[in-house]
Amino acid sequence: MASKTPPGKVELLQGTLDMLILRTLLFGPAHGHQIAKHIQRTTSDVLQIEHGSLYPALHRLERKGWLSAKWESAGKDLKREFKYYRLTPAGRKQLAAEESKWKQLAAAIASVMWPAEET
Amino acid sequence: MWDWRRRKLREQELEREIRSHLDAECAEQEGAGLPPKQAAQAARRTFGNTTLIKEITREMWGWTSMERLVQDVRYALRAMRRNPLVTAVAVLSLALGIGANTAIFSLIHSVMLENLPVKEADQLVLLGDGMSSGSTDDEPSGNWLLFSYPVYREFQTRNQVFSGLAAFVSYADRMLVEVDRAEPELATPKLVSGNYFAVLGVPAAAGRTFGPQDDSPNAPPVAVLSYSYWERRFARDPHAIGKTIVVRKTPQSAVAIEIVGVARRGFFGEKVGAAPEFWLPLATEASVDPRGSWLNDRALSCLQMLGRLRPGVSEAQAQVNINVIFRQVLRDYAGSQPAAERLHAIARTRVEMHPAPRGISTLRARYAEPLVFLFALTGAVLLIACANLANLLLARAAARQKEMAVRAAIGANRARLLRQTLTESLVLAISGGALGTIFAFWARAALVRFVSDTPFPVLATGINLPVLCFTALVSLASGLLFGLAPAVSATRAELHYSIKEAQGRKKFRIGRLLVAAQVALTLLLLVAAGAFVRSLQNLHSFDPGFKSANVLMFEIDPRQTGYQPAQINSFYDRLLERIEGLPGVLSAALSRVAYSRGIWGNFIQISGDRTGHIVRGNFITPHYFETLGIPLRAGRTFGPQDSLGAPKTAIVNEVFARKFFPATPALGRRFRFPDANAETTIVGVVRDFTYNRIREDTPPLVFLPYTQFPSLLRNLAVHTSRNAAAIRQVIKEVSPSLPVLTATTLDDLVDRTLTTEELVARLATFFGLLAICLAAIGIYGVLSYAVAGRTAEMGIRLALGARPEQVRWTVLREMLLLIGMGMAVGIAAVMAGGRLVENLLFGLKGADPVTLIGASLLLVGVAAAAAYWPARRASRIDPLMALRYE
Repeated sequence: MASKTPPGKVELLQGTLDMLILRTLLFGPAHGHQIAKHIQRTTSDVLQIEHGSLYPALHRLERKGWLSAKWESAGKDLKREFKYYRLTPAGRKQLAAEESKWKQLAAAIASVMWPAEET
Repeated sequence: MWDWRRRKLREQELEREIRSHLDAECAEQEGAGLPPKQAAQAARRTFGNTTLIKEITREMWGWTSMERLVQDVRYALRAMRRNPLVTAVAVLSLALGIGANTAIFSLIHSVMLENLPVKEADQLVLLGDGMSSGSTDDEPSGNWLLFSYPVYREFQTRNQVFSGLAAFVSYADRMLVEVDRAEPELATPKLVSGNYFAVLGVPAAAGRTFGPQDDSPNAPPVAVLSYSYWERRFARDPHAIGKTIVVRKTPQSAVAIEIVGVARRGFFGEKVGAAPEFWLPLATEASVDPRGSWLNDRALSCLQMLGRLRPGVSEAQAQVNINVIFRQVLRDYAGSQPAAERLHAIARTRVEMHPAPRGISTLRARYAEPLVFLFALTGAVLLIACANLANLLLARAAARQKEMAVRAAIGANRARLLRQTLTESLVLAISGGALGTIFAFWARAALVRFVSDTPFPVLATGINLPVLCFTALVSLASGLLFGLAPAVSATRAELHYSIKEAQGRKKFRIGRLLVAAQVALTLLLLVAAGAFVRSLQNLHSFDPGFKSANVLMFEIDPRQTGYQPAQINSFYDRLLERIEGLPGVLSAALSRVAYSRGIWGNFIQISGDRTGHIVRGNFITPHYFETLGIPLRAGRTFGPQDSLGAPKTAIVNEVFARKFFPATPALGRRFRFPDANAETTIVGVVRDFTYNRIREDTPPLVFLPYTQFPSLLRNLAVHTSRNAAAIRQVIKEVSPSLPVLTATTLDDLVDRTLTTEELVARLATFFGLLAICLAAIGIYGVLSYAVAGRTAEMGIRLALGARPEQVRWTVLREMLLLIGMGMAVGIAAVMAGGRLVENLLFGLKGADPVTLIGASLLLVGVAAAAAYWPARRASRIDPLMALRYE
């Protein structure tokens, strides 16, 4: 567990992976690899998704009913099959709730870290 | 199971998902320009440890209980395999303990607990006490135990409480029959009413059972075979049906009985331990019962009845209804002007009635007490085995403290660990139980063979479902018993792993208590074994008062010879004359009853006194006392002068003389039987000897000459150096139709009355030895463990200059203290419990000091020896090695 984080990369905060997955799926259904790549790319490789936590998280979210999953063919000539995850209405609601919680948290942290000098 | 399958699917799906991920990654890397091989490697590298990821995902799903169980069991089996010797000792001692319990319980079950193998046995009630058998012309005022056929018919037609009422003859005589035109052979037919099988709800395994039509006097005689006889005699040939059994009540008469069916497998009749070969309808009694026809005789009672209560009718209601009918019937039989006395007696008569789901069993009375006692012994053995296992597992729990702590640290919760440790115990227990069941099959067969008089086992039901349930329960209970303490202690480890020292000592305390308990239980078992062996010795060395050496005993049935009562005495004379004429025969005699073969009794009145006394006795031919080596104390034995017309004479034993004529000699004194007019004069007194069984006080005995008191003489005793075959030959020459039912020696007859005692003594010895072995293993194990745990300490002591003897003594002292404690508890228990088994012992008081001292010495010796080896090892520890240890 004590793997070193490569320089320039940030480990995910506990509990944020779920939110990121949900947010990623807001654009439409995606499979595990796509989700991981998307998060990595949009954060300019700052957030490395550990696959060790991605799949358990996906399965956990599916179990909670926030995601639904379906096997679909994709790739060139539809040769490969992928398990596509899709946001459910409950998942959308959960995303909204987590987002507002995160915003509060971020604001709270920011107000401690950078006290309101500007005002 | 559903869960299990769904899980498998999910597992495959995860596998597939991960593969698709790797493929996508691989394609991407290839797109970036890597060669395929390196691309695949890179994909794998970025993904990480697939097994771990699967594991974590799976953990997230949560385990099903089924899967956990499989896991735990696998783990337990692995642990058992790792330590084959320990496992073998554990499983074997458990198997012996559980097997012994199962075998004894299966006997208890079939002798005391099991219902008859019939339809809804709970509805059955017995009319009569089930213990009486025979026939009587008594009309008791009070409880009736046996009934006549006319009374049965009245009950059957007039009662409102039974849905069916079946009758059967209370006795069953073995007789010579010709089955399927073969040579005459011995078989036991049993007479039952036509509705017997219907009332009991026993269907036919082949052919048919009896119907009401078979009960009518003119019906052709038919027989239903028992399944075991069909198996034995006909090898279950379906063509047995239609064959005939010829019964000759006398050589002249022959009745051919057709076999019409076979009763259901496992059905042995209504009496546990008796197994008639075939059943005949009561209507055939005139042609087969050697006692003569009695079917329409109101005064001759020899039947018992089984009724099936109508739904909703209680036993009490049935009793009331039957009693009313019975008194009406007796009132009718008494005629139009019965005496007031008779009416009074009738008003007080009642039918004895008992619930009879388990049928009739005389075995129950005979074996109940010894079986329960043996059951207690096997229970104690199992407890000792459990204590051993608990100790073993405690030691292992200590050795596994680190493992447990690590498991707890990485997140296993305590309940899970507890369950896993318990599963290990249960796997051990179940393995022991399974092996024990196999052992019990064998042990039970041996036990049954030992106790049954017949060459084939009468208790054939064997180990059935209830018994297996019992075994499973006992196995689980013992698994919990020996597994719980170690499991709790093992899983407690993580809480204060650091204070290991205190923990170890505490656990050892449980172990030591267990050793003390083992010692106490073992002492109890040894004392019991010793007491029974000594009791058996007392019985064997007991002088029965007759000389049993070189005496052959034959059981015959003169009724089948066809001699009329008037001729039968001359037949007896001729038979004895021929036998005594044989070279090598010293003397021979006939008698009505013999040692362990029946009793005869009657009331007498001493002349000049109107009180009635019960005496026992026998009808004998002149050389009876000579043949059995019983000395005459006064007067003479019977001779030709005691002829039919001469004044009636009798010989009595010393108890009789002392009891009735304490002050004066008994010779010449007279007494009278209530049904005889003439008085009987005492012409001889013989020394006391055992009448029927060794374990009874000799009753006052009266011996009557067969010439003056005509009687059926069924026992032939021959004092001879020759073998039974020679005598049989002579019997056959004198009367080819005289059935010899059994042939044995008097020694054997005496021994056979001691089978129960012999069995109990042997088993108790076996269990005692088993217990002492287990206890020795326990002591050795606990002490070895303790010494191993104190290696460093011992090493330091030795390094500091302690002498080996001192170290040895330190270790031994502790164990001896424990053994002493156990002994003290054991001795107290022996003192308290001794009285409970006094009934089963002969010539011993409850806590026999010799047995107690012997058992204690043996136990101390074995225990000290078991403790010595680990102690010796402790004293030979190399201090340098010891200090490096751990």
